[in-house]
Amino acid sequence: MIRLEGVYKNYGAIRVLEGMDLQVEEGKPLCLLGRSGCGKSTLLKLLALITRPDKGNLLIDGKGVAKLTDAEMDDMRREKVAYTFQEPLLIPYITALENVTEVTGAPKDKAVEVLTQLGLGDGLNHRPPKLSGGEKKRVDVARAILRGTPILVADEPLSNLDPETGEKVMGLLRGHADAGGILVYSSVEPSETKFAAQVVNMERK
Amino acid sequence: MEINLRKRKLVKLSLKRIVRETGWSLVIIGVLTSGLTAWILIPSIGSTLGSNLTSYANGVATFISVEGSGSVIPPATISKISSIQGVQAVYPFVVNATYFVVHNFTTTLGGQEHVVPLARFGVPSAVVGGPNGFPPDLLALSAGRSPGNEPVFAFEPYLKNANPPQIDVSLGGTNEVVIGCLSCANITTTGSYFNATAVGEVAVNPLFSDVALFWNSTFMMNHLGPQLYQQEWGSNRSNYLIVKVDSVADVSRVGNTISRLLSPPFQASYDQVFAQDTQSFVTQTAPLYEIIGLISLVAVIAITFLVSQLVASKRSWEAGMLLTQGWRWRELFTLYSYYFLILSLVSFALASLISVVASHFFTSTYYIFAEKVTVTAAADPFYVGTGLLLAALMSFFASWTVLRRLKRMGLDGILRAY
Repeated sequence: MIRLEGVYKNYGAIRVLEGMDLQVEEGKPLCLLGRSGCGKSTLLKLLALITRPDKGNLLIDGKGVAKLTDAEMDDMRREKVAYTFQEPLLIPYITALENVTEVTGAPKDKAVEVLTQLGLGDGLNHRPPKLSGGEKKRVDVARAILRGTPILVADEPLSNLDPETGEKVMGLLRGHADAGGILVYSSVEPSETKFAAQVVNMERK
Repeated sequence: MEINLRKRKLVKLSLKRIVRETGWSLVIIGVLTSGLTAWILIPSIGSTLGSNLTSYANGVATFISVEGSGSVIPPATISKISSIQGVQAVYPFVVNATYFVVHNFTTTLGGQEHVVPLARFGVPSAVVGGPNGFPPDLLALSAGRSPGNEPVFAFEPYLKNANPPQIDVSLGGTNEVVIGCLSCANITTTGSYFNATAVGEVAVNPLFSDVALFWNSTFMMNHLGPQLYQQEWGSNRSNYLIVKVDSVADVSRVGNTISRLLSPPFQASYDQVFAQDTQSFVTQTAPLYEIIGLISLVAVIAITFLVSQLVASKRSWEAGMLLTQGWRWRELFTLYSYYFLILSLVSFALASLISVVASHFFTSTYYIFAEKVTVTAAADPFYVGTGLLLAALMSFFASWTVLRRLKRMGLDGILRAY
């Protein structure tokens, strides 16, 4: 379980989160809905342990993040959280398949299976500069799925995807939640909340 | 799923980056190669020129010769010279004359041409080896071979031009000769006339050039017989002395001490100018090269820092992405280490090759007794070895610098740089 208790996060003078409380449970996907700049990505980065709250506490499985050292936070991120980027970050000098196997250490056959499931069977050996935005997104999602961590945080996983591929991607992500994992994703489209068990509407401060 | 980032996998990933980002890799290799080349080449030039000159100096300039127009040097004087501090060894030997015989030699006297039925032209000569012989270790040949137990000799190259045309002193040339006394007022000859062939040409050593021709001692003993040999080349008749001094730095002092011990006609000869030049090279020029070498080391460090900053700033998000995918900082460090290590090793190989080739273009010329001596530089194994160590250290330093910079930025900062 993830809990946020009175979390504040600023970027310089910009107040992004103010006293936010939230609880996410296993098996109940959470969607953060809101326009660009409302703080969705910041909240997701907090949940993915990429950054820390300025104030308040974030608890993962009852363990507060605020008092963790950097090394402990690194370990917790490594063990507990997989993250997909709003703009997929792929290493340009290796293939789509290698971006999964080399980065996550996942077995090749497993990686091929997931990528094929996401409709990337033909592009396995293409390097990122030759992939479309949607294809990159799917590689990024495959990478997160194959991490096999209990928490999966996805920043706008459906952007740049056609509805059919979006269904496939969300099918995999939901499968993670259905298997007892925690899924938090963000979206700007209200229609994409249909995959979630709970929705948090976020507004620009 | 536990991430399994085995070293082999990280090496493979680094190799892929290097190979597939060819342009970028070549830039880094170019920068690292220039730094490593500077490190290997510049100190190597100073070091090898210095050591070559020193070894040349030890071969030439650490000798002092003593002679007195063929007069026998008193054994007591030789004994005193051997006990001077800084004298490593003394080589007393006998120099006699070898006469080249020319039949029906034509010459002009008082405006009139005369034919001399038998003319003899003498050159100072010694026997190599045996008691009172010229030390074989000091006989360096530039061509041919050492004289053996047969009627053959080695000669100083200046004989090629200094003789009447009837005499053929060149490798393979045969002349009629006879052994004679060097210091006698009149030409006296010993033993019979015989034909002898030149088989070796002596490398120029100006200090020994008073001896122009070398025989094999065994041959000469066979030719003259024991009694005549003892009379002409025997012990206690040394009229030439070579003194080997410990180091170039001792030459002047020992030379002065010997001169004080000698009375006319004896005199000591050595190349004071060369000894001083060598000294000044060791004390002035060599440290200059060492300073340049240190500057190049600082340059290498600066270059490494520059390269690491370039790599850290290029696609820093890549490190951030890997961290979000469960990588540890130490795994990132290993990845960067392999990346830089491979680049450094390639750069080291190139730098070594360039240094080996380029060093041959660096030569120094010295004049010793008006002889021109050219010393060529070479890549010094010490600096090549330390270059390899430096390449390894560079990869460590560059990786550490990249990681330090990324850690300062923090994971969120790294990803925001995207």
